[in-house]
Amino acid sequence: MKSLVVALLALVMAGANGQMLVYPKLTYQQLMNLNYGPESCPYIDRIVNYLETQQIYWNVFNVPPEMLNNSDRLVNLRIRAIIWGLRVDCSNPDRYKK
Amino acid sequence: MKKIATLGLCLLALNASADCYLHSNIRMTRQNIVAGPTDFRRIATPDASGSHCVVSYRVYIGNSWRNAEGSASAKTESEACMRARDIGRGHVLAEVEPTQVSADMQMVCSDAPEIQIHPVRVGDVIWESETDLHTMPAERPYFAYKGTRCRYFTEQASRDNNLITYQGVICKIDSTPDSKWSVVDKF
Repeated sequence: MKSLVVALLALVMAGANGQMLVYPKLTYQQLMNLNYGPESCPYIDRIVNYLETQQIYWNVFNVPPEMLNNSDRLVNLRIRAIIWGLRVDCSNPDRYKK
Repeated sequence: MKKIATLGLCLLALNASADCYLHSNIRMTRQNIVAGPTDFRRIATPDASGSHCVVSYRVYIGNSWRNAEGSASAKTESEACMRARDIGRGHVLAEVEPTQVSADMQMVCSDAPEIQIHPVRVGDVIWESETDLHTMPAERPYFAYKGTRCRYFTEQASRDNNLITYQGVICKIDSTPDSKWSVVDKF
């Protein structure tokens, strides 16, 4: 199961050679399997840009969730949840520590 | 004509009626408050000692937001209102049916718009307790984002006979206790 997890940072860095990046569109399954860790924090702006590009590909960027059909809503939910997870975790590293 | 006038007066009376609550026996402690106190609204009036302040606010107890109220007197308005915010002085307010009212009950009535949970949209400016807490307790604490205090919220909706849970983020507009919140994302 763990092999299904796609490291988000690896995807974003794969094309990072200083040129304009054209990211491929991820499939529904690839989006659901995306994962990230604290090593992503220094690259958060690039990752957010990558994820918002995926939202554009899926036609869900800046669309109220009430306007989306269920599968698009889940795609949007997954992407926005990762973006906010990164923002929260990177700005509040002690949030989940007991 | 007389009937129409009577009906009009009845409707006017219904619209003018205030929401009334009883001071409940529920004691507020830091242990039983899941979130808040928040959404402070205050009314200060002069009294013999200087100023009397009544502060109404919202606390999340059990699994819902509740109205609460505290009051205090002091030499200055700011001191009185600061004391009134102390939850040790507060009472949770319980909704009351007019038929249950008796003469010795201590009631609180207000014409101010009632704060309650409702569907929100990105950009709305709201009271914090107009949204529900996140369903997962681990996601309930506040977090910092771009120098402001934020939290996740969830919103239940029904679509095609299915229950949908939207999530979102609200952030406090400024750092004052009376500040409202802005809906910054919903997904």
